[in-house]
Amino acid sequence: MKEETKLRAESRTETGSSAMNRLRKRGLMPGVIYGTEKDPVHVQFSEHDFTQFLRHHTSENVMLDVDVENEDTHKVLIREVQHHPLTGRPVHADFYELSMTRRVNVDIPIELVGEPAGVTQQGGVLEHLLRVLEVECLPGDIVEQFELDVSALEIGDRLAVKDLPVDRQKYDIMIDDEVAVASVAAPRVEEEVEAEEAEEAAVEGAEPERIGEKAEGEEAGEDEGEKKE
Amino acid sequence: MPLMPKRVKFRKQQRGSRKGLTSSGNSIAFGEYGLQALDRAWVTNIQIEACRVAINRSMKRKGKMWIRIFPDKPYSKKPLEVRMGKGKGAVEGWVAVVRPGRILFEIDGVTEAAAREAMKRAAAKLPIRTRFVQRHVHG
Repeated sequence: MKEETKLRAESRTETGSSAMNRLRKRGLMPGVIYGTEKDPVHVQFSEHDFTQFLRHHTSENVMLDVDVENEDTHKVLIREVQHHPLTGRPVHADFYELSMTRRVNVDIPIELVGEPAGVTQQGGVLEHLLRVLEVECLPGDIVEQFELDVSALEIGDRLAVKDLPVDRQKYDIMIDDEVAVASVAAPRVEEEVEAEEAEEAAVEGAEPERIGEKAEGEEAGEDEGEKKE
Repeated sequence: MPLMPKRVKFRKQQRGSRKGLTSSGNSIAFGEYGLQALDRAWVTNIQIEACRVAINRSMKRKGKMWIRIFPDKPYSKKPLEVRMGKGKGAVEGWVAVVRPGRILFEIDGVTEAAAREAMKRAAAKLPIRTRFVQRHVHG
């Protein structure tokens, strides 16, 4: 990781959703700093500063210094950012306190680079099958993303985890080497699919099968009995 | 053929609640681009099918799409000019309960412009406001 940034924060004593909603109305957002050795520290910081910080990075996998007012500075990794489902605003952030000598598990995004030959010349579809790679490494080795060149792929070809240009001495990959990362699939033949669907659509009045059909038959008998009464 | 469950435990359901925001399915999981619901509605299997056809025709055999909602809820209706009472009406169709924030469709393998166009055509088939969303770009 090349870049280190500072985020100014204050410690907070209030917790709970009502108090945090009041906090957010003031332009602040809550967060928590935790690690393996120390007790968790609840913090609050400017939502604007944090959003600006995220905008300048391609992933949320970023190391930064959280400067807690009147307390220590914590070297942390953003572990999770919760976003509002509609507005997309960050509502909470988890910071994982790092020791520069202890290896950590991180999810690093995989970025595909280039246009595969199977797509440009043969009309195939590039499928990005694995988007993040879980690795164990020292905090200093964390990168924002791994890049994988897919320009040589033709229809039917695939690249697996073992093909990623990752330095195995620095990174322990926590996933099997044979897991596919990207592949180029043949284009779909839409006319055939449409024709099949048209045939299926002709079967009208189709109803789902009921679980326990026998019970239904008995019930139907009972219903009829009731109606007669 | 419009989507519907293969097997069900009960033939009819109560109407249930649609309040709140979606608790799951609110982020892009498979593709690069998505269509996010901004309102709440019962989206019928016929509307979902219309969207699927619109997206596929717009993308012209390129790319890949995912449908992130499934119409697993039966809705019933009484026949016309029938007095109230005498039991619940017959099953009329199948709907997916959509709350604001739900990702409805996802697309991958096409350019952003093509994805926007496809989603615009799909959105025109739906009874709710929607928004085009991209992976890693929030809000």
